[in-house]
Amino acid sequence: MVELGSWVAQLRKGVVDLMVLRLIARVGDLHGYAIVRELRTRSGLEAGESTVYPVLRRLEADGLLDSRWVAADGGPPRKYYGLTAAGTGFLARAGAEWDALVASVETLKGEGGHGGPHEQ
Amino acid sequence: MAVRTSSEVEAFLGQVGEALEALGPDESREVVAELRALLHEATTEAGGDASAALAGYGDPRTLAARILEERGVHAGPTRIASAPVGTRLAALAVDVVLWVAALVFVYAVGGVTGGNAAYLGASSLVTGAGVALLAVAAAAGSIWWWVSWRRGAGTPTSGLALFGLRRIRVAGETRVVRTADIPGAVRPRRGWPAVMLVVSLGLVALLLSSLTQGSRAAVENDQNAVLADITTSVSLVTEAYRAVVTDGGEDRAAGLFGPSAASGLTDLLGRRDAGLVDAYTVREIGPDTQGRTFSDLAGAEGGRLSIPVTVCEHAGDRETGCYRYHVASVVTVDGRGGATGDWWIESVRRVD
Repeated sequence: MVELGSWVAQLRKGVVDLMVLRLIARVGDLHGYAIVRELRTRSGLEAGESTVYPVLRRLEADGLLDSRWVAADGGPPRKYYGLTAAGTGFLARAGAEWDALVASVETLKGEGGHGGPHEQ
Repeated sequence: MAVRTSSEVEAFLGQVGEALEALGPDESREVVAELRALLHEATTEAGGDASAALAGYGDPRTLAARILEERGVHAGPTRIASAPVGTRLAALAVDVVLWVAALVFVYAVGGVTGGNAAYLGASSLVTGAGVALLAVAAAAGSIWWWVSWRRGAGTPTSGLALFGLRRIRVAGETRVVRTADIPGAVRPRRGWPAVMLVVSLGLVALLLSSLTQGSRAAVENDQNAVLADITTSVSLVTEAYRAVVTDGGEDRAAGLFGPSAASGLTDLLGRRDAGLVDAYTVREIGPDTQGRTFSDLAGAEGGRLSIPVTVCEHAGDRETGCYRYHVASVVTVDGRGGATGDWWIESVRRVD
């Protein structure tokens, strides 16, 4: 039997890319710590640093994000991430795919009447 | 609650950096620097509690594994040791032997093809172009092999395959390792590289043997050519003495002397009549004064030889004098690959 917690973790893992890109597109360039914090406060997504940070590295390696180091007061320099043109284009297409996927799930969910014993 | 100090953060970062070896030194350093900044932020927000900051990152090796997974980099074993130096050198030696054998083979094919084409009457332009094409093919093959070696292409060279080695890129550097040390790697077949090596060594040995025999034959040919010239020259001089001293055939002797040596014949006749020569011996024979041979000139555009022959005259048991004759020959090439030579005695002088 599939454990719910494990399934949810996989689901969240799949949407972190999209959420990070959307956050940066909406707020502007952010450093890694701020991205984790904003995801938590704005969306309620409990994605820890160990989840978000590897995704940031991959998005940068894939060319969807670029980065720059900025000197910080009283601490080590911060690395800020911003969307590239490729990232903007990808976000638009991925967002459309996501919307289509959600619409499909909602459509199936809305087909009531002949639902199974657990359908409400 | 345990309090973690910044040294624990550094220890955490050290473990992460070590586990990110597969990313390469530059990128792993950058990751560690970024994590240090993130942990500083988190520690500050946690009121200086590094423990709380680190909690969000979990196990350092797990974090490193996730980073590598997201980057599509497969670390596999932390480090695959390089193959022993001796084995790597042996593999390189095999590849060099195969490369040299290929060049020697192309050279031999080109030489045989060019030689046969010339023999069959093909123009020098055609044979030259053919040999040049083979040389270009050999050079292109050599460059391709070199580029493949430098790129560390997936397919191992024959030398590497023969010794069970492979070139891989680990942590941004190319390394030669034993295939057996790579998890899941398929061991390359060694049969064909071994066959190629044996055939190539045999081919090189055969060609070297031919070259050696050819060189030996060339030396013998040169020696034979010199002997032939000397024999002809000595025969001319001894024929002159036989005609004068033994047979009394002065007219026959006169045909062997050139105009510039006519006085030499007259002197010889005088010495015979004076009883100063009733026997003769060939004392010294030399090659052409400029080291050429009839064969050399016949293979070129012809020319002139001058071969010294020293004869000592005797009257009874007494040696009466020695004379150096220079035998000349004009070699004329007839344009059909043949040559003729006119031989005569061109000068005589007393040498004792």
